[in-house]
Amino acid sequence: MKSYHSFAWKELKAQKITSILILIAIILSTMMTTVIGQSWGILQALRVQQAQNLNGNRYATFHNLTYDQKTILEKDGRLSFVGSHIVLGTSRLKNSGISLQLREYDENGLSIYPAISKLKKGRLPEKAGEIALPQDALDYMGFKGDIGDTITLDLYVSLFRDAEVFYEYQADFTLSGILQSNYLGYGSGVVIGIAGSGTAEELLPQKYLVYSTDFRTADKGSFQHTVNDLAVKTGVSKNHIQYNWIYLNALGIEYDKGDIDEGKTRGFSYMTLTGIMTGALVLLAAGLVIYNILKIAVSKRIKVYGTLRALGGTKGQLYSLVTQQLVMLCLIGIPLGAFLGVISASGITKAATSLFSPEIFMANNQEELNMLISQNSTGKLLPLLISAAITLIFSFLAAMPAARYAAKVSPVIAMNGITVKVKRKNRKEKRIRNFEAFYARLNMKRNAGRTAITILSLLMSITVFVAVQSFSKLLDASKDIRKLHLGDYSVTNDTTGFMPSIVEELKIPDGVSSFSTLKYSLYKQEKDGSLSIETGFELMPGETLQIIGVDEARLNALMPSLTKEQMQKLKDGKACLVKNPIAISYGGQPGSATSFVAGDSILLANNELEVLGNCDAVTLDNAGFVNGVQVIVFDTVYDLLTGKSTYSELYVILEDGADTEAVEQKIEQICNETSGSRWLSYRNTDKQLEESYQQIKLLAWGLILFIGLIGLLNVINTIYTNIYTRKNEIGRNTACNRYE
Amino acid sequence: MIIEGKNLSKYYGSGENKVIALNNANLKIKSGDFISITGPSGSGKSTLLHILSGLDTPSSGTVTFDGKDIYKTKDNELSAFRRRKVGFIFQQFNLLPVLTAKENIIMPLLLDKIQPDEGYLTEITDLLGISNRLSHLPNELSGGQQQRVAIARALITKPDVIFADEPTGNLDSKSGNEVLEILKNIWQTFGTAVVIITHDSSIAKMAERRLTIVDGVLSEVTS
Repeated sequence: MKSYHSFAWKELKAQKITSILILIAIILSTMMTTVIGQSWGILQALRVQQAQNLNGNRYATFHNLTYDQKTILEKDGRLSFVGSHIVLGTSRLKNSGISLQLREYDENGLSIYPAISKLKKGRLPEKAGEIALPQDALDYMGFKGDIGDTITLDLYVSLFRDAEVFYEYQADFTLSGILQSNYLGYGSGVVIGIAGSGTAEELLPQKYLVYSTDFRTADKGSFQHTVNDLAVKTGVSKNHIQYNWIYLNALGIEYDKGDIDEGKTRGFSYMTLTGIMTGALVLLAAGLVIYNILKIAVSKRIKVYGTLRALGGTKGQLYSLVTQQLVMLCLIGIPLGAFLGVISASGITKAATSLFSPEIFMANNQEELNMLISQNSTGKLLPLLISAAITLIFSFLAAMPAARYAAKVSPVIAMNGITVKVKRKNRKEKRIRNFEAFYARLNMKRNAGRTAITILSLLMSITVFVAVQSFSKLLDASKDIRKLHLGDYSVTNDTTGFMPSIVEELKIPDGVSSFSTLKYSLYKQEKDGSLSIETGFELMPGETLQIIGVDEARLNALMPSLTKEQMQKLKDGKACLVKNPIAISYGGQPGSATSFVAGDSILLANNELEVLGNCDAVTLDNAGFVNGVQVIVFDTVYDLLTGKSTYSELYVILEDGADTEAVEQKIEQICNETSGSRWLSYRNTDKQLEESYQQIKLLAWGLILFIGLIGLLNVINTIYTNIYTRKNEIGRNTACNRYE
Repeated sequence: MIIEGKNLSKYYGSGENKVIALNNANLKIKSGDFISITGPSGSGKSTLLHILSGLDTPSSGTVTFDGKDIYKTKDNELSAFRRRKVGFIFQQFNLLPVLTAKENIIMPLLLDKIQPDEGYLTEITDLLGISNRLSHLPNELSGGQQQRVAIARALITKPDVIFADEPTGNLDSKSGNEVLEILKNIWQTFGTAVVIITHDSSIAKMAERRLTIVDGVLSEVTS
């Protein structure tokens, strides 16, 4: 032995249980911080992948571009990807709430939409007049033919945010391929068909030969600046710029949010905060374990530390001996924990993903998915170093009280053995019915600190569980898509509407858990600007007025901040919510739009309504927002304002495991009874979205498991500590019992 | 004169609960002294020894080493005093259980960042008869052997004074006598001052100077 420092190692070896417990705590906490650090990358990548596939691998799209404007974008060196398409038109799919939009993509254009271009049969269209349509669209069309057959489509097309009447036409196409159904489009009510190159030029008038150009910027940081600059260069108005906000949010790219709901963009910062909080709680849990174990280890060896002080050891030397023990354990534990953390992070994800088909995760195959995970789980040295540093700092902070205790010990007291000082305030003599229970209660009270740590450990495990659960939900980029529709089925009739008696009928089948309704009236301006309903305000040219009646649940969903008083006002017909119209530009000149804000008062059919706030648009059958003022009122107030009581849309929400066939039969029957009705199932859409979120959820469960282990370690340690510190007492109790 | 304790008092508690462990004790330890301190249990013997050796602070009074008050120095200096100037032999041996006999012996030197003089180490271990036990852990040694290791540890730094607190209290009479013989031998061979606390009057009689302490009051025994 060359130095007194060797004593630290010898002590470690001698105190096997203590050392192993601390080592486990260090390994688990490093694993945890590493898993969080590494998984963050993986989860982020998966979130990005998910967002990319939901809305395309594009940051933004410029609409209504001429060929020259499109060329400016294609030649701009700041853009890493540019791809365009021309919308050939939209065709309503019979007996469904969805439409088929036919697009002609250029060479690059389609590559960023893998979800809509997966072939089931045949090939993608190559020349003018050829099309590939998704299987579900063909089913809705009642198509029984095969590849090579002719399909006639009635199409209508308009410019993006154009106030003019649609251009309608009919055309024959040759089916070159059948695409796999993509239910994600149901959320927005549109499925995509692909047309061969040159089709648009053959079929569309010059006015409608406009491009929608998708792009990504090479530099994410200067994204908005580049967009603004390109808008100026190409002369594209703000209204014609569409941001892929789901993808931009997932990537954390700053952009001009405009009228995008703040709630949709908050996710990332809240998610980061939750992640930090989870990490902090994990470290606190591990820190408590280390503190607890080291404290007992030092207490156990207090005589040794007293002897060292008597032999001339300084406070600094004793401090260093205790911390050296921790350094050694950290040297073993941190690399091991980091290694296991890296393996776990990618292992959990790979295991989770292997349970499902890679297509569910929007990757083309398992290799692609594994590559995505690997790319984001390894080689991230910085998070690894940060994880190690955080664990080290926390371990030392946790060890400090024990080290100070050892350093400050009086040699005389230490060598004589420390007498446990017990303070007991309550000394009332009561009859002891059960000695074990009485003694356990006394012990809990006399070691308030240790009892508090045990309770805290359990509490932290629960808190972390809840936190991880909530942050995993925030990682789900698909939730915003899911929000686009309500219920498992929508049943629509925008002509005569459904009579209230039919609504009651639809509530009857088994398996329907809840029900939501929508009443909808659209008022278009006459040539002189008048409306068929009396209003106290005037609309801007081209705007419509829509009165919408919804139930309480939908009102709450549209504006979660509604108070009880406000809800009562809505029910009493004294208030409403408003969605303002979008300003339409005419001839490149920005137009103005009618606008109501909270606190305004509007007069409608001789009723004065207070505007409680602005909300998202309510669309019928997800067909898109018809530009205008939407006045959203309570269901019965709608009847009063419009003089109508029929329902335009019904949303059916099923119980888990419900007999879908029976419900669908009932819906079908109702649709047949009321002409002009159609229905749409979102169950496949939700299934596809939910499955894409499974991997994220499973990874989150992995994190929870580790946290649970740390909590368990803390509880085991506290019990071990309690037993150890009272070894003499327990011995005495045993002796007493024997003699009794 | 090496160590001088002047007007040393030690109290525990306060008010009605005040206990006087040591009451105004005065003592000078000179080079080559062999002092015994006797007294009944709880009389303040160990308290006096702890205060004189720099292990415990007095409530009042001073302890000077070469004219310097050891309790007015910094902790590092007081630790250095314990490390270099004094050696301890405890009734409970107080060996570090994870270290071998040799490692226990050289520990005071290692705390001072000094490597042991192998010749001197051999000399004292031969003298104590533990040369063949150096690689043993304390729990592999008998009580007498453990106390010899503790004596070797006290001697390794060549201290000016050795304080022995009931060194034979935990030993059988044979081992106890052997330890006493060794202590006497050390005193004669190395000329180190020895202060020994004991209950045993026969041991006390071996000393050059005999002191007794009763209820914290120290007095010299004149024969």
